Amino acid sequence: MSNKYTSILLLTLIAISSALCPSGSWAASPWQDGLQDPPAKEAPKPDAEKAEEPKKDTPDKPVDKDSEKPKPKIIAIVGADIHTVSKEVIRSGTLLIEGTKIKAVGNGIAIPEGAEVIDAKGKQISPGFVAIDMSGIGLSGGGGPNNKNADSLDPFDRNITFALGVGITTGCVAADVGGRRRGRRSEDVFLGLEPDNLALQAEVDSRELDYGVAESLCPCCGLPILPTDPITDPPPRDITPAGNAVIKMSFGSIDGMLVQESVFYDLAPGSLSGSLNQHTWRQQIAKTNQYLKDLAAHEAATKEGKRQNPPRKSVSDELISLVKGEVRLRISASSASEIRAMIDLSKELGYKLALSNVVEGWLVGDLLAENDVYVSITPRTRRQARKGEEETSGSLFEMPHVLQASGVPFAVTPLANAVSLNGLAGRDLTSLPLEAAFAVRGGASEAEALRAVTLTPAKMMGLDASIGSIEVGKDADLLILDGAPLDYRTYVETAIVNGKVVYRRAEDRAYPVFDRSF
Amino acid sequence: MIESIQRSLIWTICCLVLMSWNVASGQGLLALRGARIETASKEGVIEGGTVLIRDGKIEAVGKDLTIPIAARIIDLHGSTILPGFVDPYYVVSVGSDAQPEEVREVTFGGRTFRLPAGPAATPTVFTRIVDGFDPRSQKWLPTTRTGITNAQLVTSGFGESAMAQVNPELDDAVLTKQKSQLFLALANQTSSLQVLRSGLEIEKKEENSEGRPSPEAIAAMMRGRGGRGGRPGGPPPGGAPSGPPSAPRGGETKSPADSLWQAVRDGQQPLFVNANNAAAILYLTEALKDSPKAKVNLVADGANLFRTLESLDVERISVIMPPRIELVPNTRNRVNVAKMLNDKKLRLAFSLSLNQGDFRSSQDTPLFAVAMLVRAGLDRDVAIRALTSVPAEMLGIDKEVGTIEKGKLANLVVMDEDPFSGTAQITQVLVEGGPVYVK
Repeated sequence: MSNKYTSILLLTLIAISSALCPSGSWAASPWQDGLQDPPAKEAPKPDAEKAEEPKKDTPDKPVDKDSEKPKPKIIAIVGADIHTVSKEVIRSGTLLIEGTKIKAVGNGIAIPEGAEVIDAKGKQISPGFVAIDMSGIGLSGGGGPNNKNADSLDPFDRNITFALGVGITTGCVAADVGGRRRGRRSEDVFLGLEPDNLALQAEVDSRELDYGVAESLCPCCGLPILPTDPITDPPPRDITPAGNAVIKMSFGSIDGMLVQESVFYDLAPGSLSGSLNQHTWRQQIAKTNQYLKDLAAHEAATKEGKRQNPPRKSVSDELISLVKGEVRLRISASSASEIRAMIDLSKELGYKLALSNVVEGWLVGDLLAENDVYVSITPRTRRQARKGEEETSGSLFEMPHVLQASGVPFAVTPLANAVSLNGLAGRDLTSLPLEAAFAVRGGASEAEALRAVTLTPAKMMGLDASIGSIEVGKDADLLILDGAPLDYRTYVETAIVNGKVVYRRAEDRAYPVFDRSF
Repeated sequence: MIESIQRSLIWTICCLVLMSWNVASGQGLLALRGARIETASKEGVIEGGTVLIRDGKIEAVGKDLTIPIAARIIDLHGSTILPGFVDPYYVVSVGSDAQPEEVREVTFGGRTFRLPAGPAATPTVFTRIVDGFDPRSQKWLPTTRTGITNAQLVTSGFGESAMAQVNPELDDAVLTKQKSQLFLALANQTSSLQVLRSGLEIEKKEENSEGRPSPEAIAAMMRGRGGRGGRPGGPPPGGAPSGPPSAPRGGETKSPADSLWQAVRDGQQPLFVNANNAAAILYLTEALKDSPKAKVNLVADGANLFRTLESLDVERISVIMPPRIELVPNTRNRVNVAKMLNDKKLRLAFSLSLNQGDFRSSQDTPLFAVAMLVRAGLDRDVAIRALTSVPAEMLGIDKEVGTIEKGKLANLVVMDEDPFSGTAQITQVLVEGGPVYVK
């Protein structure tokens, strides 16, 4: 009897409480989950994969906490195949990260006590990819003419997560530098972000395909009229470099995000074409050389104890570092004739060259190799040959093979340099590894193709001392992948930048999460 | 027995004396009886208590107060009395602080497109609210309907704030003589960060040897414009005359900004920083490392605070946020950032006006958003204090307002049911004892 009573009482109580308190109905909804647990990124939980490791003993934990403060944190990634890029692939190796750097890599490395262990058995590790040309990522725009890149970093940019999701950990981003207007490069941001504008897209496409002058047939004999050189010289242009900055995709932290500014002397396409522009350019270089000579003389004189005014500086810092050989001149040169012209000019004036948008590079492989020119290519670019010049113009699918055979270092860059998530897939920055896979299809070795998105661009920017490969002492910018680095099926599982996990596929949800084992 | 008789005798005498004094002093005596009183002070909640108001000030608060005969009695059984809400960051527009938006032109294929050049540079010109503020240009009804009795007025840029109180006589807000504070909207832009750094006197190491930015120009802008001409309403705050605009450079004349920055650097006054994105919060925490004494009241929305939770220094940063359940950025997961901040022991205040959309749309049930936060786990008392006493402390006006205690101004909000029921409506708002809003 009493039992019955209590049960009835209980039921009524439950009914009343649920009716009174609407929060009860929230309990089951996903809402509550979100309310209760902050995602692991903000409050890092121990890695789930860690559980399998032998480091589960309880005495370890206090030791871990004590040693954390004086010593930098050590992360050990075990069991993965490691693509070092600079050397051979290490099978089932161990990789130790201390602080922001790689501490050790190889087989049979002892895991120090208190290290956080990430089990990556069956996974592959690759250095983070380097995008040689990027825009609209990690820097917030605006800010007026005096805006500095160091002050406009946005480490919470969603595009950073999208870039990390395909493996990009470092990139050279088009940026304002010290008040100069943006170069043409920044207009690509606009194109990249607005692919819905079909008219504009069509215009771009037609320009890509429509090479030279539209040929027509001679009304008398019916033979094609070949394109001729323009009679008038190209108009004079402003030869000032566009700004660029190398940033790391260090999501959530501005520490170490800006790596370096002005790694290229970036000129807009066509800036050096035509005798008028070339004349201006020669004068600028001569002026810089003169300044450097005067400066050296002044320094020598000061050493001898003479008092002398320093020479007036009438050239920009960027130009000085170009002439000194610290940075490369980067300019678009797609056709063989443009490439030759740029190489001739660089030989004459004595600076180093990096050519972008190279299409007819297969015709001048040896020339490029002889002159220590770095090129960036988009293996999927197509260009029709000119009529009657099928053997010596247009694109060639095997260009990566030719370049590798000639020993030309090449970097791969996708069709567009921004992240754009509407429009046609596979054209934007997030297709970088896929684009590199097309280089393999075009005859380059897999190692060379991987180098084309890691070490080669790092060298191009002069940053190969810290990024681009997995070596002891370099920055710990790594990817843990669920397959071969350039395979189209591969997803980035974990991305580490400066020794910090900045992307986890399962949590960031930027790319699909599924299990392939059907 | 004798003791108790004695005590009651003393009480009666006291009451008699009090009453006679009341009668003598005449008007301005008001008793709010029977309501549940959320004092927001140590007293906590008083059920069925009485608030006695004389000449605009709270004379007594308690459960078994004897109400003087002369007092006008308002019976508020079933209602709740709260201290008037204090809005610590009420954005108003002053004169010409709006800056034109940047536009850039892109020519492509013979066609010219005009594109907005991202967010316009944050205004970095020093604005004094008292110089250009016209209380009559503002629509104060939303404010009183929402229960805000005191507010710190700021602009969307950088400058010296002013304290305002909704005034029963003028049916208008007026600026009070309370001490003004320094506020700054911060973005991750050089021009904006430069204001902060030069104000805190942080020497930023130059990455580029070339001194392209002109700190002098920015410093000159910072030096405060002063003298914006005729200003209706509100006396100028004590001292600090606005420096002449054509003052020679080199710190010969002290502008109002300089003395305010000095107080911020010494930690005597907090700096109100409105961070417009998460990156700006990181830049702020970075700058604070180089200015060890400065304290900041950070104004930011929940999503940005959520992302930077780890970097917030509990000792030196207090938070002002719009009350609302937020989405974790780029997800559909909802979070109660207010609760997370409170769990982290950060001092928390709500600004009901910060999210203008919420502010205007929630006037019938102004505490709905706060009620959601309370239901989702935020401590109830913390929520009450975040609306009243904490912002009053932040503004340095806690001697006068922010709690229901003896001696404070009778700035009160009366709600018809439990304030966090979700459907609670405001029935009355009193400022210095006088009604400014009656439903």
